[in-house]
Amino acid sequence: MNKEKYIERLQKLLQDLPEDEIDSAIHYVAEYFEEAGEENFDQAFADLGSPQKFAAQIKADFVIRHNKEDVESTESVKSAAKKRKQSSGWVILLGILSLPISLPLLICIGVLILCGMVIAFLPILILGLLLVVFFALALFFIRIAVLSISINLASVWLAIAGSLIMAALFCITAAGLLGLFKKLLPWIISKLGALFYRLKGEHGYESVD
Amino acid sequence: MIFQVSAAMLDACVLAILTHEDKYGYKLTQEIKEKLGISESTLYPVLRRLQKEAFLETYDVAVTGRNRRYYRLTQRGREKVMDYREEWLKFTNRIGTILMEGTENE
Repeated sequence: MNKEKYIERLQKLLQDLPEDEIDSAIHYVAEYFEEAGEENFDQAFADLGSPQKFAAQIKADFVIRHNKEDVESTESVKSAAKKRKQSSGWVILLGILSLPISLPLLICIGVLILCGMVIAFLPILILGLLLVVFFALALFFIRIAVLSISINLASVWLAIAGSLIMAALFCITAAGLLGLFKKLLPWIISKLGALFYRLKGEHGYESVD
Repeated sequence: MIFQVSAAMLDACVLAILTHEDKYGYKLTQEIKEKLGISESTLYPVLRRLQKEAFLETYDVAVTGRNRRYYRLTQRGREKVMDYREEWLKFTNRIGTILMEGTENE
């Protein structure tokens, strides 16, 4: 091997690196051989190591250097996250400062939600009331039927028919209520859950105060 | 030598040698080789790294038809040498205290 072959080999081995890395390494090696002199080529070769060994070290160093830069850039990302954290502190402070306005607003929202819930529960309330009324009417008609036995038979049949109609209405109302519950219950549970979390979240600011 | 020259020590030595005068690659390498007894192939990556970290800079001088690339300390490099000297004193003091403990009385 001679100087030219060494450099040629090295150049091939380093071809994946950026141009300035290759140029710098080649310059160094060429200078080293020249300064050592042709008569000392073997010594210079021994100093530098084989092209493979020399290239491997340059590549390893290049990779380390660039990983370090990556690490530094991730550190800058971390410091940006820190800044974000600081800005969330500002949000909390603003939350506290806006309490005079936000507290009445929160109460208003609470009242509205309560009204909404009452409206949502209204059908159930009405159906429940109807259930009780039909049940009472059915009992009332049965009582009339019993009382009219001694008076005349037609009244008894009429009263029994009335009580049966009431019983049927009671059953229909009960079925309607049951169906409503079945459909509404998961919805109510999920809404209540969401409301609970929302209130909890809003409490977060207040507890800071 | 039993005690190995670490990467940081090699960095420190290269920078320290350049505090006195600028040197071109071959000369610098020979000097390090002579004084530290390390093989050359480890030195070029060190020079390159120190240059990339802006502790060293290079300039070319044409000498008898050849192009010598000189290495020179930057201001950052000079400050780094100071740091290394301080750290080295701390380090050798610490090790020395443990290693030489009790030897004054012998």
